[in-house]
Amino acid sequence: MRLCPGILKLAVLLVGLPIILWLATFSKTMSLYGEYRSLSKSEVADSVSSQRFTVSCENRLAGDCLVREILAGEDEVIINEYAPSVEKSDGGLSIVRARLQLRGRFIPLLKVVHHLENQPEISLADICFSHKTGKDPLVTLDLDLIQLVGDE
Amino acid sequence: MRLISKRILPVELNGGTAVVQDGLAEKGDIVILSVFGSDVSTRSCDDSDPVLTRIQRSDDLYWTMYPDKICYVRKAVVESSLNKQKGTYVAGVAVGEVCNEAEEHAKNILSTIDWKRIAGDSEMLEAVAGCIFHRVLLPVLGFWLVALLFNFFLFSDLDRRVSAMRLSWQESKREAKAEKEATGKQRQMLADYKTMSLPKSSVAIDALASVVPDGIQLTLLSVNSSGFRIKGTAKEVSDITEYSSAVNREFPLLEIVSIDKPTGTSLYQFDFRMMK
Repeated sequence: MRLCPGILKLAVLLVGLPIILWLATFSKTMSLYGEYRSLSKSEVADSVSSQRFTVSCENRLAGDCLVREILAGEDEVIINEYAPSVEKSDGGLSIVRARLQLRGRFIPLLKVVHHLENQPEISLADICFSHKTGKDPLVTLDLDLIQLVGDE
Repeated sequence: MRLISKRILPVELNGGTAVVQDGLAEKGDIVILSVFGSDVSTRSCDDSDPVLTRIQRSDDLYWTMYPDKICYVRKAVVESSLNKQKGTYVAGVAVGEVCNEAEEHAKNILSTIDWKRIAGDSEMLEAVAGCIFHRVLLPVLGFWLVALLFNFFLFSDLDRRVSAMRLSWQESKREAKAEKEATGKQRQMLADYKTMSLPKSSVAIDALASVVPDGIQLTLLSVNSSGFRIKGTAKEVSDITEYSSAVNREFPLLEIVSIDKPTGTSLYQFDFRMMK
């Protein structure tokens, strides 16, 4: 069949033009709409749920208040040394360590250990009773207290 | 709107002049000329008439055969009238002595024009296609213009939204990654903390201290992540043995690191270690 100009023009107008417009513009809009829908779905699915630990931000080992509180009324025990420091810090958490040296009789010192063991959020990392041979009845107690603290 | 329109166009020929009424046909119309008037010649039908055959074979004449006669007219005269009707397609010519006669025959010709005939006639098809093209050009272009405008606004809006969502998605992905890293570090910190923490030991210390025999003096009692350690002095080895037996009842994993008596001293020294 001979292709006449009129038929050709009509075909271009009714078939060619829509195809060109689709390829040039509408297909891009459609692909953008597809992306919009997939992003909308993934936005709902990807809502991040935090799995972080809930840790107190209060550093109870910063001062020796805690020890003094435990030792209140305990005249036979004296504090030789108290040195808190941040041992490790990462991921928004810190491990605080306090070196405590007490001197007194064995039983009161053991009570202090017992009290400290039952303190919430605080653990003991090292306990060491030492006594020099001789007549001196007093014992030295070296303690390492640790606490996990959240960074503010 | 009809895509194609078929019309009968009356052409009156008088004294060599063709008169066509204006406004009856538009550009792109398929027309049947209904030619009549004083310039139309007529000849009776007679099979033996040689002129009749010549008329029918002539390329210069339009003719229409009736049962009793043949009406004919010169093409040149008729075609001169079509100069005013440019853009119309002449699908047939009906020639008659009077208007009614020509129009009646033109109607017959008109009724035979259908899509099948148009499709079979390439010239007519071209004319019809051209006619349709001219009629639908503006509506189609208008439609696509409106569609393009709508598409432009839609695309702009979607693009704005998608850009915002992409940013938000990237941000949340970054946050999720940071959150994962932080959670991993926190887990490690928690594990380190648990490793460092000692179990409650005051009761065990009390137990170890309460079974110390009279002859023994402890110099060290420590607890760390490796376990318990006891050091002390004794006058007699039997006291150490007695104490180790007592400790062993509480701590089956007792390890006697050393029992010795350094030179120049009167006391035995011992070193015990208990695993957790």
